[in-house]
Amino acid sequence: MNVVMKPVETFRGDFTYKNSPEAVKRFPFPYPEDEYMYSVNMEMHDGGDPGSIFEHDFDIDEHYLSEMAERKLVLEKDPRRYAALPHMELHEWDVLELIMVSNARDYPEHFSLKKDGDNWTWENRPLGIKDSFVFADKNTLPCAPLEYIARQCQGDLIVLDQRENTLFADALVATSVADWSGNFDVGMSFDQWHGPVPVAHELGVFERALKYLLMIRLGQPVRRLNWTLTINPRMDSSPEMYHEWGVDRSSITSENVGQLVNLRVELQTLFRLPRSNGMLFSVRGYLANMDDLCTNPVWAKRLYNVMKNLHPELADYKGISPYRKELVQWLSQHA
Amino acid sequence: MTEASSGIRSKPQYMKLQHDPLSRWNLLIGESDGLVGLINLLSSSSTIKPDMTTFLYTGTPVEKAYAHSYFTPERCSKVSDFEDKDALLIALSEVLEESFMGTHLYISGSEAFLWKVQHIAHKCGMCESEINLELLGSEARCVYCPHCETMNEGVTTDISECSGCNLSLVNVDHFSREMGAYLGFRVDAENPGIIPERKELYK
Amino acid sequence: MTTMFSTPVSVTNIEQLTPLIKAFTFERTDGLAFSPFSAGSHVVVSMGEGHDSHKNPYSLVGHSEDLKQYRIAIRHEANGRGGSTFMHEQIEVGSQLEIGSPYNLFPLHWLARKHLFIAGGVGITPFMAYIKDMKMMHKNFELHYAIRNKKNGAFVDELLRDNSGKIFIYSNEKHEPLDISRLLDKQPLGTHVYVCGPHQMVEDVLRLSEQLGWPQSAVHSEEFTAPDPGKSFTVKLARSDRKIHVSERESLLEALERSGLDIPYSCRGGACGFCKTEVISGTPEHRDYYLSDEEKSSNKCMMPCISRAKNDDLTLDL
Repeated sequence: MNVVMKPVETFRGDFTYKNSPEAVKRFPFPYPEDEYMYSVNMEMHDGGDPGSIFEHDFDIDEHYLSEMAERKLVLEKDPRRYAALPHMELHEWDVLELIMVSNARDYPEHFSLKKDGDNWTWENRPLGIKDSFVFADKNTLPCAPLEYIARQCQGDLIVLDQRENTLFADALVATSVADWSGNFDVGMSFDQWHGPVPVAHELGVFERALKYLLMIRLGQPVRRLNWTLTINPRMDSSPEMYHEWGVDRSSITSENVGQLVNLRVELQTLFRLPRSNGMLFSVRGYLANMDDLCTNPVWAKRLYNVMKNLHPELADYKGISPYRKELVQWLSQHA
Repeated sequence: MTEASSGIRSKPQYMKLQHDPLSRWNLLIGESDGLVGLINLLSSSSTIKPDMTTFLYTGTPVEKAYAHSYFTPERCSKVSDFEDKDALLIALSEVLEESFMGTHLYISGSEAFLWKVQHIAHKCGMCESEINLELLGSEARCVYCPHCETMNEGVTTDISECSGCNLSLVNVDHFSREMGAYLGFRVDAENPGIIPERKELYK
Repeated sequence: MTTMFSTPVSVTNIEQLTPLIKAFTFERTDGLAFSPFSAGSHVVVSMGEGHDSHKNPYSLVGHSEDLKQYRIAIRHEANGRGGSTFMHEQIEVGSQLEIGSPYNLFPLHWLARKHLFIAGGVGITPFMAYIKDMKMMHKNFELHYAIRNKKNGAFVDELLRDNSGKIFIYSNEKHEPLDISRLLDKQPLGTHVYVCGPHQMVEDVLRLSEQLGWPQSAVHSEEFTAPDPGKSFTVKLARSDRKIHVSERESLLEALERSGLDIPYSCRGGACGFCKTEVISGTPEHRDYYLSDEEKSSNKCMMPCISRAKNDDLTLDL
């Protein structure tokens, strides 16, 4: 299916970002039950229905141009959103190769890759990019390989080094994060970067998840969905900018819930990297406001139940507590 | 040194220094109050060989004099003291460049000092199991401000003013070993102007 | 993760590297390119049929530049369980086999400031891939390779052509023993050691490095352990309500596969953790390196690729 890309919309300031009815239809609604709790909700990332967000390794949708414009803006204002430790060079090339090969295969109308030994030519038609470079020679690209490819694909990229029976987030591009700092977390082990997450440690979720992740095989990626709420369709709800966007959480009234409260769902995928034996952890965010989501009566009812039943510690952690009452009340009209 | 088993897991937990009998060369590194930890280490272990042991230290003149009175050649063959932390850290880098596998580090001092030393050791390729940390002395925190990238040293309260952007930051137990710092963020971001009273927590 | 990727390949070249070691080159029968792989990876080769079928892991030596070819090297183990004999005696150019996707239990530690490789005999195979990566990424390394004599040393000519000054070959014939203790004695901080070779050599490196104060996390070893033969036994499968006989010369995993069960696996040597199987009752005879001591003594799970049972009381949740 051809992806039709919308002209650039904004994720800040005037927030012109909107979902088409088709985008709402394919939105990854994350709640399998009326009550949400952490679990090791991982499954094989081996395709999905045509047109669904699971169809390809890396989903590209109507918001491509907007998200790429947003990423460019954030990286220019704050270059430390790309952070990498020096031993991650081969991992970075691995990621570049994985995404280029996948996207040229899955979206041939938009991307192409020609390889002549180590001399590669990459074309990204939507962004008007055509570059030739030498694979594994970083001097032939305008920036680091990870940043180069991140500027051309939706979602944040976290690159993990596997050693000492755990995973370390040793390189990343994080411009559309939900409340964690890439620059601060770079170099952390799996347990460390999940440190602030409440409840899940006690459930043993991370221990089991890590064992599973360490055994991910080449060509057999896995995925899970994660979610949070965001006020406004703000992609960059990072700690770096929290002093500016935090106040939004106090702005919710029963009148504006439908427009301002956005469900943010992350399609998190993990790919074994072939050359470095590391892992790519791709976090692809989708935003939709309550008005759009509640056009689906099943979702509306489920949202009401999940928000009503949410564990208070999780509500605090996800920053929902300040406006939870207004949200649940608004959703109750759909119950 | 391990990770917390409850609460925020990235927060380091420190332990009393103990000699690893398989450590061949011992590098003892201390600052001010950390001296006590290193003396305890030496006096409690029969496996430390003086000719395989190096001691690097910085502190007040009185502390240094006391250090020299304990770290005599019979106990430790190489003893050096330094004007300040920076001088010690430069010397440490040089020592590590000349050191071999089998060298273990024993570090004792304030939290900020421990992580500065750890960072240098890590850059030399040392693993966590070769590096032993004991926190003695100031627990004042390094607090990283994500809003303006400033590293605030010597923070003793839960809420403090960032020296870079003047925002009031609350610091949490989330700790980066790369930065040797705790994460802070604007305490009144959601309700501007409402700043809780600060508490002295990390002396 | 239960389905195992298996790719049909044909053998396009066989080289007699030494009297006992042959190298095999594979191409995919569909003509597509293979995936790149990380140095230290192995693939499981499935060969033969019925009672003469084998699934053995072998380190990848390298790939062609266009990734159309993978290469492995196999030593003929006359006293082994038949896989290497099959490869040496039955496989010729044009033979068809299946290989699994590469999996790495012996990866490089990218934080090391120096990589010290110690190889013995056919244990040289993973290091051939390592060296290529070391050069590509401009890393600091040394290879120390012990052989019986030049005639019996695989890849010796290729390695001698290298002029990096980082490759050292020790030949028993010339009375140049590899002194592991001396080699490990004064290595710069940040060195990681990797050993692949005969059991004794691996043991020596593990023991001596510990004595010399190396941290465990800086010591890496690989040894493909074929399951030792054991006594035959019968195992009960609770879910399918069946009894399976495991003969002296097959592993429990092989017996389960023969009975049509699809168990995930990778190393088939008790190291990777894939084939972990729940035990309902009975006492397994644990022989793996994967399970912790607590898990072993709890007898709630086992690794059927290498572990067995001493009697017929074992019941599995299969």
